[in-house]
Amino acid sequence: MSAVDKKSARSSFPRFFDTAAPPDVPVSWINRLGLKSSLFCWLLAIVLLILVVYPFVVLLVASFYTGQPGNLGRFTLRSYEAWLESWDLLPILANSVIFATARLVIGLSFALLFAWAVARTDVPYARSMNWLIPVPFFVPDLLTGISWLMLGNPQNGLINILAADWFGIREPVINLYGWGGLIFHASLGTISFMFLMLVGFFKTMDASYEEAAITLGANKYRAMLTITLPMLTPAIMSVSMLVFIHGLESFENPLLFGNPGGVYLFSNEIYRMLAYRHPPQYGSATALSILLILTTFALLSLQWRRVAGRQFTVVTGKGYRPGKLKLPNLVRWTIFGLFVLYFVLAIVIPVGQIVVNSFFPIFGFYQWDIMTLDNWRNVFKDQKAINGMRNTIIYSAAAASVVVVIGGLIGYIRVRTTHWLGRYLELAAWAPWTLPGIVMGLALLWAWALPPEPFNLYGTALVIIIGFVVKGLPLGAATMQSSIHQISPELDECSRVHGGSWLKTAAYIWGPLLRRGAVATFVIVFAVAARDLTIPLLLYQGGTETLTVALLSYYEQGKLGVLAVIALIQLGLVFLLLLLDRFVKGDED
Amino acid sequence: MPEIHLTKLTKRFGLFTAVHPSDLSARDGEMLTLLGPSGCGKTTTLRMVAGLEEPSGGSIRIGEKTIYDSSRNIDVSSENRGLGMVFQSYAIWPHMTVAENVAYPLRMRRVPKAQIAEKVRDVLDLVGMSGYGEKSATRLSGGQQQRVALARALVFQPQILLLDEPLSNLDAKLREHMRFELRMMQQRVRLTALFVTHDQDEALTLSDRLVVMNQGCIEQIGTPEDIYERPATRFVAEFIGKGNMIELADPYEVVGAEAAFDLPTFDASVRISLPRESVRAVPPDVETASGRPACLFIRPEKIAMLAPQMSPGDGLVHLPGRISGRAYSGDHHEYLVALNPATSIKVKATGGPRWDIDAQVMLAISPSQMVLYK
Repeated sequence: MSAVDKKSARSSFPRFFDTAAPPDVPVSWINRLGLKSSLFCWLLAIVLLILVVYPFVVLLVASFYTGQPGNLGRFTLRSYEAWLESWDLLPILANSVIFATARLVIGLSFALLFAWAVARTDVPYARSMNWLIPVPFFVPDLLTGISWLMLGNPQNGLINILAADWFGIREPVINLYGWGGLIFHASLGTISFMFLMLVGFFKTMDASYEEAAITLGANKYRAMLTITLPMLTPAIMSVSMLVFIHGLESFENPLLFGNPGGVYLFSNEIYRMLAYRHPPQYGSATALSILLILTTFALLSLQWRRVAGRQFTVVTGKGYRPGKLKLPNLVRWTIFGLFVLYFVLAIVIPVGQIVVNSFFPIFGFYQWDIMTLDNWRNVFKDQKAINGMRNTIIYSAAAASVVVVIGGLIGYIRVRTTHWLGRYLELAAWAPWTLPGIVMGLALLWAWALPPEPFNLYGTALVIIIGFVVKGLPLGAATMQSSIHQISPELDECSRVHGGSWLKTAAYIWGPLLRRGAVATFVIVFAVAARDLTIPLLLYQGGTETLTVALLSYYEQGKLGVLAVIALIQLGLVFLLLLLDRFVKGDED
Repeated sequence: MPEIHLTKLTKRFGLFTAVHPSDLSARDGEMLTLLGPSGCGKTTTLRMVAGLEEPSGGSIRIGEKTIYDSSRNIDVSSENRGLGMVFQSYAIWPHMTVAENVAYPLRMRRVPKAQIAEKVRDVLDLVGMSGYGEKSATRLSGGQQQRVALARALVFQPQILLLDEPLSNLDAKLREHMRFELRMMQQRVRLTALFVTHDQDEALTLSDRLVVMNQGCIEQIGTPEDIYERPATRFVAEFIGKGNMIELADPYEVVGAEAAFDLPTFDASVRISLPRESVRAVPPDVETASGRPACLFIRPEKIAMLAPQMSPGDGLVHLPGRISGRAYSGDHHEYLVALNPATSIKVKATGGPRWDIDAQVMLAISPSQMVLYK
């Protein structure tokens, strides 16, 4: 056939269909073996059972025993009796609730103000605010906390020393030990987190509700107060509950600011019994952990009852951008001023202080002529720091990868199948969210010190990785699931109909389409793991310490110069990943 | 080219029955359209054929091959059914080029690389997208995406083509254009196609035969002319095209071969007699159904509007009325004519004089254009 003939043949429609048809799709081995996705459901259920459920069963059981991890001892009710007989529980509960409430109120007020201003008004530099306010969330509490304590502790806090040198004030002008420092510093992080959670709602809320109110005679402020806020109430409520529970769980802040001021909440009390008592009071600590879990569950069931029946119908996410509310100059610049103050307190001062400190041999003596790179050099000779760096990277990356896979599978089952196990898998992945890190650490300690060899993971790197997986699962699974939600079902159905088995569909369609979501999930889980202190603190042994553990031990030893360098390395790591995330997102937009 | 046979195909979601047991066959080379309002079960039916939804009972046969049978426990998985499908959103994979999208079904069939390239080129030619192969799939317009989706569904020469509202995402002009292209292509290849739509214009112009569905049941199967001219049920009459449905106050009487009833007007009642075939009743027993009130159905374009003094033609029913509303629609006027204080009917007038509001008119209708529904 000549070239011309061939060409004309190609453009004739029936001829195309007269050529030999391709073979049928071969029946894949998955179909031949009868493997169905429900098998993976069950496998996943077993994995989650071992990862999430098992440790807490052990924790519950252990709270009725006298022993310590690795050795249960004998049955007793003594641990609970001790708590319930004495009045010791009351101040802990009260302190925890006061702390969580104060943090929530301050955090919510500022977060709402900032979120509303950024999303709905002509506040100056709204775009800069939009990406700077979330920054403190990504900076570990341990770092900014230690930095603020260097500045504001009553004995040799830099601010107090300067006050004494310059103004001759002998009394400390600032004392961050105890309640003041605790609430101040915890609020800084909370504002950032709540802003991050809330600003999306303000941005995507359908403006026509508000505009309807305005056409009916409400002014813009009244529309905001009578329409916008009430409509966002369900969203605000659930974010608040999240933050409140996190307040109960918070460990770094109570440890750093509470301990020296004698303020004990659930978390630092549990830690005190394990770390500062000889011998460690495992029974009391475990029983207290169970009591904390019960408190959290009680709160959650309250929340569920409140939210039940109310729907988030507001957030329709229409493409339409409402006109921005024009504020008087005074209001605009006041809000902007508050933002500047916030950013200076949350980032500029603590991080700046750490940076400066990393170049000086002795804390507080900042003179040009003694500036040095010794701290930076020493870190790379310090075994603990090197271990910490290596371990943090390996453990966090391993945990993040596992969470991406587990989260992806749960998301798939939840979004694309109607398997009845789906909702339980989702629940199991979400459950660790309600559990304080210190309790999680204790539960894992019990759980993995108990089984016989070779399943006894006590003191291994694996147990820390498992801990990070459990810790990262709630956020990771939710992120994975939401990116799976964004993939239209027709994209994979189309693959199925046109010959792709579900395994091939997963490989050729899901994999590439989920890349962005997977990277985002990886970054989030990595960040969560890399900044986590509680889990490695209870589970590490010589050789498996992480950066956070090294950080705390240098703080306790007063080696502040090296500490500063480690803190900066950790910070660098987190921001490197955020950049990676940006990069991956950017190249497809 | 094979036929599709659905036998007693059923789908239940919990207690809700989405598709009642239905029998349905698409003949060889036929474009069979499933038409109905949303939630009528048409998409569910199509998805059951595609293997994307597992039926609750019944069987599906393509040619001689049974691909689903609940009683014999046969369920060929979706990828082994050999179907081409165009999805409502086109489902063009955004991470692949146009050529990679189209090549996918061939890759899954382990066709050699060189042959894939040739077939992809050919099929892109066919849908008028030659030269677009290396383009990123995300840079296509709606119409182009539609063509690519069609190319992908045709490239492996499937025996059956499934179309799930493929035109609903296009703008009106393009939709009309693609409608004809799709029809021409299907006729040239003589593919058996199952087409789902809620757009009746699309259904009428595209199909060899139509299946009108409502609440999971098949209301009528027939050619577009059957469906439009002789709607079998009241639902079909109201769903397809525009129509006047006049509730009659009194039951009709059966007199010999005719059914007679009174239609009140401003002056006096007009007695109308229709042949018995014009009564569509469920059960189809005209006598037993006669006791209950019925509805009279007339299409607006089948009504002639005359001045009141003009003498109507022989054999036509004439109804005096008064113009109570008028709307201009470009190629025609639509009038609302009051027959009595409680009843108005729509009349579509493409020519003739322009009537003013409150003008007295005479409507002339052939009895063969009237249908009674129970």
